[in-house]
Amino acid sequence: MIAGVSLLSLCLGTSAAAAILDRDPRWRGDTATPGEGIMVTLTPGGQRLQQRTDADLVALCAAGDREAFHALTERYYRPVCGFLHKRLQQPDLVEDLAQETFLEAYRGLKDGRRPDHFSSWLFGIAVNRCGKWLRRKRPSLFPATEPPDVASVPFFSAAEELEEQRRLSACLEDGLASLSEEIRTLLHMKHRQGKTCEQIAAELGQPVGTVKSSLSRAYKALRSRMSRPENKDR
Amino acid sequence: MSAITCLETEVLIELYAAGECDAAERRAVERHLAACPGCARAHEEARQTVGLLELRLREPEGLRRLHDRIESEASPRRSLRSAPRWQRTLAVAAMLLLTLGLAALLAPRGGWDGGSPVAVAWAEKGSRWTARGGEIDLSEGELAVRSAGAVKVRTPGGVATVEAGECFIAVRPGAAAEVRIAVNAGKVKLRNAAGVEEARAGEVLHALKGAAPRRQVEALALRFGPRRSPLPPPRTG
Repeated sequence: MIAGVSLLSLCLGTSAAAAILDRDPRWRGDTATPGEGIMVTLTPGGQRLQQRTDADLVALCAAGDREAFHALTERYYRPVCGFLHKRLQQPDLVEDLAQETFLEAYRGLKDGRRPDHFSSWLFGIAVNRCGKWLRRKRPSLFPATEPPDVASVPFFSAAEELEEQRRLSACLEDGLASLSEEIRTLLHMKHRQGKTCEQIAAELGQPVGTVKSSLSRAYKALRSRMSRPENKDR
Repeated sequence: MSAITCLETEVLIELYAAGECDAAERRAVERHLAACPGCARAHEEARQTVGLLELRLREPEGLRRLHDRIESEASPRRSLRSAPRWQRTLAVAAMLLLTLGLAALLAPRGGWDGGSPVAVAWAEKGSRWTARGGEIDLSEGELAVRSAGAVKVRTPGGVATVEAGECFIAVRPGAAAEVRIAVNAGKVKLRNAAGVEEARAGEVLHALKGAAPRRQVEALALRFGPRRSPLPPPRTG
């Protein structure tokens, strides 16, 4: 990287290279011009991108840096999935709509959109995607079941959603960390590999009832952690 | 399985949310949830927990897939989005023609005279419909109508007038002559012998024989506020 920048400075001249670097927020505070060249101190890009603000990452995306967008997806994929899940409650569908949400955001940034608050903008796209899917789905003409309760999520505030999703995510992480390795393996087989309890039991040589009760206990422990404090006393 | 108590439901609720109850347990839990608001709330929480857990455990694959999609989108291959406007217009026109052709194929008992300002995006296989001079007769099945002007759709449950919009119309065969119309854009009026009702984007019209049509606001329309029209914006200048 340093060699690349040095070469750049030789080709363009120091001031031109500095001007380019000034526009690139990744380099802020990292450049110095001692005499005739540019000295750059860099730690590996991935780590540094994680520490950047949303605004910096958005500016980098706008400059064509896809790694910056990947950093944003890593930062917001889980909250966006949680947000969509609250409304749709179907993990497969949530994953698809989350992907579309991020792709639309990527295209927006590429086409020159500069949102002041990336997270609010992103959640807004997710809401639109969600609404578009609900409008478009054909079975709504003769629905097999009643639509979800209107009153359950009447208002939408991106900041509150983000806070709520981060709380749930932290509780889930804590809960997972508190489970034994055996239970985590069961959860992995059930939810990541998509196996049924019967398949898991056959694979591990355990009775189905044992697998089911282990999973049930794990779910209960996680639910207890994730439940809002005011609901825990019920 | 006979009726179960709150305590028994609490034991089963997580497995039910994870889709791991057998048929008898499932029926028993569903009956209990329908009558017990406290357990229904617990079920909501359990479903939320299991869903978020599943999303969390599948996150690495999701992120990898997203990463690949963004990379492939950013690759130098030429996409329709980057094509000149005339090429995009041509491609859209070709797709529309193909869709209309498929719609005609999918409705073997229907017909399309091609002379009206109506575009039929699709018709469910087995639907019975004919189109002539800007009017459609739909006696059974489902079809999507997208229209630049006003078009009438006659159904056993009433006559729908689609005004510059897009909607799905479904007719359920039988003595009730039930019709449902989901409006995606523009507005639709449904009239029968008992009355008339109008719906706009995001709303649903419903009518049965002998009863006036009713308008239902699709549950999530309220949740998400005003909707964007899926139709392309009108040209200006």
